[in-house]
Amino acid sequence: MLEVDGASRTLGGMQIIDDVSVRFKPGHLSVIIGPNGSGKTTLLRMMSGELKPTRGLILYDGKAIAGTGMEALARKRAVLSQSSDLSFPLTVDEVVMMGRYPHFVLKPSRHDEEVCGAAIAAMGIDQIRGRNYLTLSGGEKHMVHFARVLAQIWIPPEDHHRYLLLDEPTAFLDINHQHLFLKMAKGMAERDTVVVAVLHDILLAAQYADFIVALRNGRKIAEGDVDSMITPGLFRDLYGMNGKIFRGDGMTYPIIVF
Amino acid sequence: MNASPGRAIPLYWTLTLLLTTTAVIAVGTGALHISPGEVLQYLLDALGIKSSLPSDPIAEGVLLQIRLPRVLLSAAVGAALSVSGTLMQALFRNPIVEPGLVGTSSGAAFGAAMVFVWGKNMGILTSGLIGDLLLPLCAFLTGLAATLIVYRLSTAGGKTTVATMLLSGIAVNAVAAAGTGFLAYIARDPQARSITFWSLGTLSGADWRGCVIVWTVTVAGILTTLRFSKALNALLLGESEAAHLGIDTERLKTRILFLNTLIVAVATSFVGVIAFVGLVVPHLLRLLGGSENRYLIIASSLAGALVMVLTDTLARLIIAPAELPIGIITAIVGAPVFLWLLLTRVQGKNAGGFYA
Repeated sequence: MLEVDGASRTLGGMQIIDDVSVRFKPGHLSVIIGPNGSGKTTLLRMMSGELKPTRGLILYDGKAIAGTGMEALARKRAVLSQSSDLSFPLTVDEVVMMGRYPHFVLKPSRHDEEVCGAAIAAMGIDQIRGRNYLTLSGGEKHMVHFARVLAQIWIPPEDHHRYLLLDEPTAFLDINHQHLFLKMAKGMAERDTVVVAVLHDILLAAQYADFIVALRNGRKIAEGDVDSMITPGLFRDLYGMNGKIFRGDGMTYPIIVF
Repeated sequence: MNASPGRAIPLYWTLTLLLTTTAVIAVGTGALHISPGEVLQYLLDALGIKSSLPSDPIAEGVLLQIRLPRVLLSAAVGAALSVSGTLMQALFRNPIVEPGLVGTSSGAAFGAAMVFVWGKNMGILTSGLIGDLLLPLCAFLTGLAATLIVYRLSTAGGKTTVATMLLSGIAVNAVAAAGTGFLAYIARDPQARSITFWSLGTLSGADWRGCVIVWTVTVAGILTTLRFSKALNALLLGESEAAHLGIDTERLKTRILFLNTLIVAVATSFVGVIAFVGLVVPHLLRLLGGSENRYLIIASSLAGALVMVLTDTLARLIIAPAELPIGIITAIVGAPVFLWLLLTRVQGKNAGGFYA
C-alpha cells in the first residue's frame, strides 16, 4: 500500500500540491489524470521520495518514506521518468544493469545478470542488447529504460510490496508501444505490485486503469474506478470541455470523445 | 562498444605492458643512452640485488636520481589528469570537460605560484614536512575554489550548459592566469623564470620527494574513486534517475569534486599546467570500449600514464639538449581533438549526439 496522507508541496512560492490524501493498492493499475499544471508530476515526485512534502506524509507499507534509506527504498520502488538525457555511449545491457545497482555493492552477481536478461526478454528487446544506446530510436530507448526499471524490482521483496511509478510512460510513443507499455504495467500490477502512472491520454486510462485519481490545481477532486470517473461531468470540471461517452457492444471500458 | 568488464581485461594488460616497455625505454633515452639490460641491472642494484656485471656510476646516478623519478612522476601525473578528466566528464555529464578547461589546473597553479613567491618569507611554514605539504595544500584550495565557481555557474537544476561552462572556464582561467602573471612580475628573477616555464607544464623539476607525494595521492585517489564508479554510471542517466536508483547525488557530487580537485591540484603543484590530457585520453577510451566508469577509471590511469611518459620523452628529445615545456605538446595534439569534439557536438545535436 502506498499512502499519501495530507501532503502539500510548494515550489518557488507556488502551492503546487494542496492537502492531497490518496491510497494506492497493490494489484491495481492506478492512474493520475488532470490538466497541465495540475500537479500530477509533482505528486509523483513526492511519492518517489525525490521531493519532500512541505506538509503531510508519504507512507510505504505504513512506514513514512522520510525514515527509509534511499537505497533501501530503491530496492522496492522503481521510477520510469518521461525521458532521460543519457548522452554517453553505453550498451543496452549496461543501461539495464543500472536497475540492479541498489542490489549489489561492487560487481553484479550471476543473479543480477539473470534478472537483467529476464527483464530484457520481457520487453522483447533481446535483439538490441549489445547495441550502443545512443544509436537507438526514441521508442527503443524508452523500452530499454522500462527494462531497467523492471530489473530494479524484478524480485518481490519478502516482507513488503513492490512499487512502480510511471511518469507519462506513453508520451512520445507510437500506438503499438503505448499499449505494450500499459500491458506491461498492468501485468506488474497483477503480480501484487503497486503501480501508479501519470497519464494524459484519457482513452488509455479508461482502457487500462483499475483506479483513477483526478487532480486540478493541486487538489484531488475525485477518485474511483473507471465507470464512476469517466463521466461528462468530471471532464467539464477538469478540462472545461464537453465530452460524450460511448460504449461499444461487449466492450468492458467506455470511450470518450470531445 | 564492448565495455563488459571481462572484455576490458585484455586492454588493461596491453596497456600495462606498453606502459612498462615505454617506461624502460624512456629512462634509457637521452644524452646518455642506457640500454634496457643496464636499466634492469641498476634497478636490481638499487633494490639490493647486486650483480657481478661492471657498472657505470655516472649512468647509474643519471638513472636513479634524474630519469627514474621523472618517468615515475610523469606516469603518476598522466594517470591523475586522465582520471580527473573521466571524473569531471561524469560529474558534468559532458564529454568535453577536463581540468584545464574548467579552471582546476590554472587555479591550482595560482595557489602553487603564491607559495613559490611568498613561501620563502613565511619561515617556519616552509621547513620540514609542513613545507613539503604547503605547496600541494595551497594548490588544492585555489584549485577547489576555481572548480566550484565554474561548476556553480554552469550547472543549474542538475544540467550543465556547455556554453556557460566553457565561458566561465575562460573567465576563471583568465583570473588565475592574471594572478599567476602578477606573481611572476613581482617575483625575483629566478622565481619568475620558473613560474613562466612552469605555467606551460614541465617535468624537469622531478625529484623523489615530489614523486612520492604525487604517487601517494594519485593512487589513493584513484582507488577511492573506483568505489564510486557505479554511482557515477547512474549519474549519467540524470540526477533524478540516479536518486531513483538510491544514490545520494548531492553527497556524490561533493565527494567527486573534492577527490578530483585533490589529485589534479597535487599533480599540478609539482609539474604545472598540462592541459588536454584529461580530454583526449578518456575520449579515445570511450571510442574503444564505451563509457562504463569502472572501465574508464582503470583504463584512464594506465593510458594516461602511458601518454604522459611518451609525451615527456618527446619533450626531452625534440629540441635536445634543450627541452620543450610538455604543455606545448599536449596542446598541439589536444586542442584539435577538442575542436573536433565540439564540432561533432554541434553536428550531432540532431543525430543522437557524440558517440552514436
